[in-house]
Amino acid sequence: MNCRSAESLFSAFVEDELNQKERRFLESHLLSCRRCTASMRELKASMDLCGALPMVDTSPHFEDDVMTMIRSGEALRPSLIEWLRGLVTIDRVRPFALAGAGASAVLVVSFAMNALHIGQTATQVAGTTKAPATQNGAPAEVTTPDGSGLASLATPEATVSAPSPAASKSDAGYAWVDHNVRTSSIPDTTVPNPGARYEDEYITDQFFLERGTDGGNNPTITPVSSRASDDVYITF
Amino acid sequence: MSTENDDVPIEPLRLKKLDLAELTDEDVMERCAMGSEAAFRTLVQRYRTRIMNLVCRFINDRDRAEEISQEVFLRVFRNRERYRKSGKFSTWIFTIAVNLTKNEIRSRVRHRGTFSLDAMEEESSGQGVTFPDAKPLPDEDLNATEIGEKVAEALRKIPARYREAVVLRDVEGLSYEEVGQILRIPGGTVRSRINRARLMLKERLKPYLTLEDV
Repeated sequence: MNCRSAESLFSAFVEDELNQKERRFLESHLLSCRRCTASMRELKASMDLCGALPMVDTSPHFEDDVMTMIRSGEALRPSLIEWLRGLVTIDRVRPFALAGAGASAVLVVSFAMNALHIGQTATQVAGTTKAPATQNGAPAEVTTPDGSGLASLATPEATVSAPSPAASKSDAGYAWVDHNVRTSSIPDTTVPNPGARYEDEYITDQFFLERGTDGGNNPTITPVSSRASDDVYITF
Repeated sequence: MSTENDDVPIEPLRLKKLDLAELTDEDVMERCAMGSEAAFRTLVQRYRTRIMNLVCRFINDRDRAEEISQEVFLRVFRNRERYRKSGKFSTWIFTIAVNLTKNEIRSRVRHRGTFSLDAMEEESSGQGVTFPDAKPLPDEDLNATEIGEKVAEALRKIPARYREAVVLRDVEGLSYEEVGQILRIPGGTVRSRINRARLMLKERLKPYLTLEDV
């Protein structure tokens, strides 16, 4: 045991709170260390001095002053903290807590039902909507509107498993048929069969890309509003 | 038809006057909570010196210490219905006193705003600047009162976190457990702080320790 660790046990030694092992170690150290022995005795002496400090008494009218303040009522006004603490008692808080818990429960249930509805709608849409295919018959890929990732449309299940933020609009019935979803499968150089119908490529909500009839070499951007109806498809 | 018993005057049922001095603090406080002014007075008489002493050891201002001590008792009275008999009354009232004293120290530090040695000393809490005492002459002969003043001064000069622990333990004589409850620190920390405080005090009081003391 070194002097530092011995010093940490001085108080406990003086107050006889050391276990047998600690006491034995400290005593053996004290026998061999005069400095620690002196330090221990000084500590004991200073403790005695502290214990012998004269008590500071109150003034003789202390008690009467307290009772006067109580009787006057002035001192009975609670402090701000006491007042707040008095307001927030269990009895007072309980109704609000119960009401809050009820409201939270309603919110959670409605949210869960909403989520369930979204899932069902998505499954139905995926089951009835055919995924657009590329020219070579390979499954197309759909880019989510926020560009956060690609979801394969190879199978309806895959579509369901990769919801996009647009899906949150599914209450209006357009969860997975969003105009913001654009296909990237339109070939650049291949001239399609005349009369074939293709999805146009939307650039924004207001404009879409017309490939033209020359194989897409001179595309034009046409305002959406200029289309006669939603059934009009551009023929290349 | 009268019997012999009719002639015997009926002794009115006399309730023995409750001697509050014989009751524990907790029992007296219970009566205080029920509205007994005498019970409250008893508590004031029992604790006024201890509370005053405690506050005085923390702040070096006797008048202010008395005001704070009065506020301690007013808070006891205001919150008498909140007291739970399961806890020790002494722990409860000392906790109120320590909290009010800490508030006072914080308030002083905040309102002074300018450089102040006292404020720094109170604010330091162990990490601040400490100023070494001027050593007395070796042959300085101090009487008991003067030694008491030196001890009080030494107490005031150790960092607050150590001072409050050692005052509660060595001056007020509370148990380690009570000190821990009042200061809201675990038992190991209480012991460590008290030991550290005693070592600091020993260094500061070394010049005044005589052979009789050792």
